Amino acid sequence: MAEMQFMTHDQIVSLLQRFSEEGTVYAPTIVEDQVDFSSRWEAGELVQALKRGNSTLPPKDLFFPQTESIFRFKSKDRDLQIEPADPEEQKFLVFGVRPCDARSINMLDEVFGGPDFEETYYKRRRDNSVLATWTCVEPDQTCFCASLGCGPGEADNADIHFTDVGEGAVVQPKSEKGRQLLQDFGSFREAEVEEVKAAQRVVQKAEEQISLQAPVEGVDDALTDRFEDPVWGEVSASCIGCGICTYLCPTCHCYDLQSEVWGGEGVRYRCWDSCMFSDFTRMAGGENPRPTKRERIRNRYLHKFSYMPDRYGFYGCTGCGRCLAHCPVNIDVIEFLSRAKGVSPSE
Amino acid sequence: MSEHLVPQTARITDIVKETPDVKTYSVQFSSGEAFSYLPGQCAMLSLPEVGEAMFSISSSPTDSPMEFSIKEAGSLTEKFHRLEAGWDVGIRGPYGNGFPLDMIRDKDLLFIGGGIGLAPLRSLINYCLHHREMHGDVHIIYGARSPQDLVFKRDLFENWPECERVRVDVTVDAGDEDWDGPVGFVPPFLEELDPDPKGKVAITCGPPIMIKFVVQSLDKMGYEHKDIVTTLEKKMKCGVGKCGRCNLGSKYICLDGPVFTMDQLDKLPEDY
Repeated sequence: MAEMQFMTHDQIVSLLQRFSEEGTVYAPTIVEDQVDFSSRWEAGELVQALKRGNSTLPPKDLFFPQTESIFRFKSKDRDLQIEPADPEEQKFLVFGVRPCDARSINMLDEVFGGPDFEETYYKRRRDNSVLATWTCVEPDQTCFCASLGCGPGEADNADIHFTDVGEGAVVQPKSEKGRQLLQDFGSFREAEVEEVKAAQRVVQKAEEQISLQAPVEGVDDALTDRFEDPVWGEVSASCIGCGICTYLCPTCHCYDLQSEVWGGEGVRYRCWDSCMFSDFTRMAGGENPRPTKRERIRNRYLHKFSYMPDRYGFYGCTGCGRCLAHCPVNIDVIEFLSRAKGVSPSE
Repeated sequence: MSEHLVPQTARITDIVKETPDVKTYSVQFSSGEAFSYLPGQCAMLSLPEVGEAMFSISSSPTDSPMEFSIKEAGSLTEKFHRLEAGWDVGIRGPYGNGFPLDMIRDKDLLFIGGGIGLAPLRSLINYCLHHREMHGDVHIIYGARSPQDLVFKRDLFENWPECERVRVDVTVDAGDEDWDGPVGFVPPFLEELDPDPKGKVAITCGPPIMIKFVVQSLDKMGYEHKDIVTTLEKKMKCGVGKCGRCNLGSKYICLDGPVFTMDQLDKLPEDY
């Protein structure tokens, strides 16, 4: 198969429909004027949904669900029975993922996989899924992916990448899974040179639209030994601890384990948690190493821009801009990064 | 790769009341096969209808059964304290790095414990006493709030002092009418005893504030930070460095710790 293919919008829709017979397709769907990934996507609205900006929620919950059952338990008198939850083996396709969000999944692969310990729950979903990315034709005003080595047309870890050129899309399979998807479910033809050029122009135009820049280069060094810096009190002053930044962040991955109990039985489930919440680190007996929003915001920013580079070799930020767009008190990660670097003696 | 968040079940075979708020639980795995572990490692214990928490294993891997000493502090431990022998609990592990056994080999060992902080130290003390020829002199300094808050009294006053080249010194913050031993906080007590740093590794665990002052005392006494070992605790959920709670800088206490040398901690943010 040659590298660049072409599919009309109708052919794309029918690819998704054909895949739906064997697995689940999650695609951008307009719900109450908001775009989110849904298995109830509408064939007639797909192209329209794809033309909008990025989804409000990143697609990370398809791999790391907001809640998932871990085991069932039954306690009767003194006896305890534990039974692992049935593993989800459903194959699925995530279609229309923006390159920044694909990059975040690449990061989560390292976090949940990585050399230290590989989590089955996440890995199983990744193995069972195909990641289809879509060039971000209309970047939002809050996008700054270019500063983080990402871009509207870059999707290194996608299985297959689509760039809309009007009547259809130029399609680039990038992995064996992507090639297989096309072979098994797609109707397509080889892309004409003009179509490939048109796709390049679309990417270029999108790149030009991203004007927001974040001064991340070297910020990990600039943050070294800044644990007691006054900047933490300043950047956290207006925080109301709502947790929206962590909820919408495509790379945030903190979780909690909780139980739902009825009578003597119940389910132990894993759910998203937020380092912005006061009880996140509070121990039995009341001791809390991060008792105020100062320590909590400090940990969040250092985690993204110092600890993750140290542990994994990359910043825990893709420049998707969601925290910037949705913080109710306008806490601005770019402003923080500028301040962090501005007062750095290393600059 | 396994379903690592799913515990096994284990039965409580014995409960010893150590103090008014600490009990030691012996557990036996329902599968008949306990996981193997190192001194200083931890495990997640659960009563799934209430919750789950990380506890250090207070027995030595050279001994059986596995033991946990649990202080009543929150809703889970409160429920634990109402259990009786014969009840099942959930258990998964082991977690963490454990004590640096290579580093302490052939060294004289100074253990400094406070309160329930003696639990992880006890695992290593009993391990060292089992492999007596592998270590030099053992000096155990321990303190608690009051005589009735001393944990592992049988070890402190009977088992350990009877061992060869073992010295045990016990203090309490405040005595009572029956107490005729030393009275005072652990750090000044340590300075008063003044054990020579030469050829020695100091291993300390206790309330964070005690550890802080013990390290200051050890500094004064000439101990180098590479020869001071401590074990930390933070709230934990996963045990494998993913859930995001127990980090100190880029290190996770559950995975890279809980045992660190002061040398290592000096390079990490003081986020504990």
